[in-house]
Amino acid sequence: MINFDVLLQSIFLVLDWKVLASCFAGVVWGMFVGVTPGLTGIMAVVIALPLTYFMDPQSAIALLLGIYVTAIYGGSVTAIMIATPGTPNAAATVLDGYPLARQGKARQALEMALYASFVAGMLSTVVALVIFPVVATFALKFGAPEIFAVIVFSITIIAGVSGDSLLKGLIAATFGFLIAMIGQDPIHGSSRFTFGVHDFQAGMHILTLLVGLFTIPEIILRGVEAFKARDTVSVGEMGPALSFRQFASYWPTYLRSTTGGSLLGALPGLGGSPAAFLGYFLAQRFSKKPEEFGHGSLEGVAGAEAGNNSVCGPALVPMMSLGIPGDTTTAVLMGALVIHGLNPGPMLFESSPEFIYSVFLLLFVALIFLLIVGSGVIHMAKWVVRLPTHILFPVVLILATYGTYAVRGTMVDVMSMYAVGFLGFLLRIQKIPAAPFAIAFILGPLFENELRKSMIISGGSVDIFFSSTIAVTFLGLAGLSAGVTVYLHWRLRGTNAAKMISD
Amino acid sequence: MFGLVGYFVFIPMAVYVPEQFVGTGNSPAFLPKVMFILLGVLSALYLGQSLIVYKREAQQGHVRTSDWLLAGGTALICIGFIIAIHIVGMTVGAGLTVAITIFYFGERRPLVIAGIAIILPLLLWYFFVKIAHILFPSSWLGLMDWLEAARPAISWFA
Repeated sequence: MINFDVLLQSIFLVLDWKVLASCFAGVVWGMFVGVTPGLTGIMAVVIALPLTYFMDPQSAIALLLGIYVTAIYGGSVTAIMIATPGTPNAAATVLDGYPLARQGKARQALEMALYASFVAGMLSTVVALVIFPVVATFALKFGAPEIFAVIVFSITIIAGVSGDSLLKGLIAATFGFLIAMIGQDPIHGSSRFTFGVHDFQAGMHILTLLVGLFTIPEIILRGVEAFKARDTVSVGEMGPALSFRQFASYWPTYLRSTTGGSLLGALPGLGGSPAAFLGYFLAQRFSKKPEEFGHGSLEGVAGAEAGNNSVCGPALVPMMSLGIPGDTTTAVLMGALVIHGLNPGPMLFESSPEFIYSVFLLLFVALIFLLIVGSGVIHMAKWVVRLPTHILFPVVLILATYGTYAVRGTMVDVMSMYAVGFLGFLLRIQKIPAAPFAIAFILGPLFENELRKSMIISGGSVDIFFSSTIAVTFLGLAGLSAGVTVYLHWRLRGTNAAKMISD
Repeated sequence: MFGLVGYFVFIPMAVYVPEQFVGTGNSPAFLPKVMFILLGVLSALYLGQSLIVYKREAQQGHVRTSDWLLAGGTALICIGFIIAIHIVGMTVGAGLTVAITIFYFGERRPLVIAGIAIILPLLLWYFFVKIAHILFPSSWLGLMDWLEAARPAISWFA
């Protein structure tokens, strides 16, 4: 159950002006990135990560949550205006948003997307706030073998983010595990793969890897492409505003799509894109006018946007309570917390419950800021979609370099970042996904640490993993999750659905 | 190939294993060995798969030569930036890199290019060096280092 005393304390934490200002800045930056085709939500979070070094943990997470929540909605602006999803999560919004814009109803589509995002975000965060303490209390019973089993389960999310080839996802994950091993061995402190470079003793910094993996390949591949695409922008009239009656008539759609999206959000590895398509599918399935879908249906926009925004709150539940990231962006958020000395998981709930509650409260704050900033963006949408990405990408390149250098003040990090960037570029042109790489890098040290601790406790016997009900349950779930994902991969192989989800 | 090199070259060369843990599951080299074997097996499978679908992929021709050249050019600019940092320092290197990249991406207005190439690195220099107190790496021709060193003299003249 929710501890209301702690909840009250966390309200005071959130109401600090620095925290609120950071959250607002995150919302503005997230919106900016969201409306810029080619810049993804994860890039927005990664680029902002170095700034959080100079902040207290509360302000840092406020900034990142603001970005996380807003980038999802921001992607729908370009999806509706120019049929180019700003982020992959907005892919389903294009289906009805762009036809509405072509019919001169761009403003209605944008407002519907904003309000549906807001409502779904609020509802799903309430659900997350209620179920979180139950999960976290249960997680307090975990020792090394149980945590190892949970990590094995969470590693199966790699299969979920592997796109249309599980084999490529596994290759990427193996690279991630290997790069995570650079530095000192977690148990004995022996050097591994440092090749005599002193700066490698502490391992590759998480930020170095994330910036290299997500930002550099994007700049190399998309910079010129984005400039070419800029010339094709065509925007019609904005049209009339959305009436309250129109908005209120889709309540059942918001609820259905939010329920579907929340369930997907709480499962590891699925993220916003499938949730958006599920929300869209549910809206169409129960609509009185299903024939309008795909030709400019406000209900379609509502379903897709409610679906993808309802992921945010529930995706934080497994991350904060068990240390399992729900998707790639939450994996980066988890990395950010680790940077600030806060290890998500049951122990964090025990030691700093007010911090955990404040994270969920910050989601509410971010959604309110989203409503304010989003309303402003709708009025400027005609100009916003004309952002000069050919100038933006070089600026991002410089920010990425400065940010990486600032973390530890060493050029080795900058060079490592570019090396990982080029590796990421090579993987990308081979269509090997980056997300499994990053997730394996983040989970790899935890995996090794808990495995070896368990082996020391048991004197080298693997029976320890089968002596606890919790460990057996999670290992069973891991097997089930891997089996289901492999089966789905096999069934969807080569279809458009697999390509859309992987993109 | 990388898996084999890793297993037979990298691990013996770059992983220190205390004597009492040699050959045990608790050795620092145990998991790296597993990962390199896994990488070798997965890569072999990928190679086999690629050979089977090679014809189909080649027929699709999804990557054009011009795109390769454009991407390669951007990669070269990134490498040039690292070299520039060592020669002219972070601030001047960033200015040059921004100018070249913006030009390369299609911008032709000299005022826009020059404006961004001057203002952005100076803003970043002010934020990182003056506000966050982060020392930038020294360089052979570090212009900002010289200006910083010459500041007492400049203020004396002023």
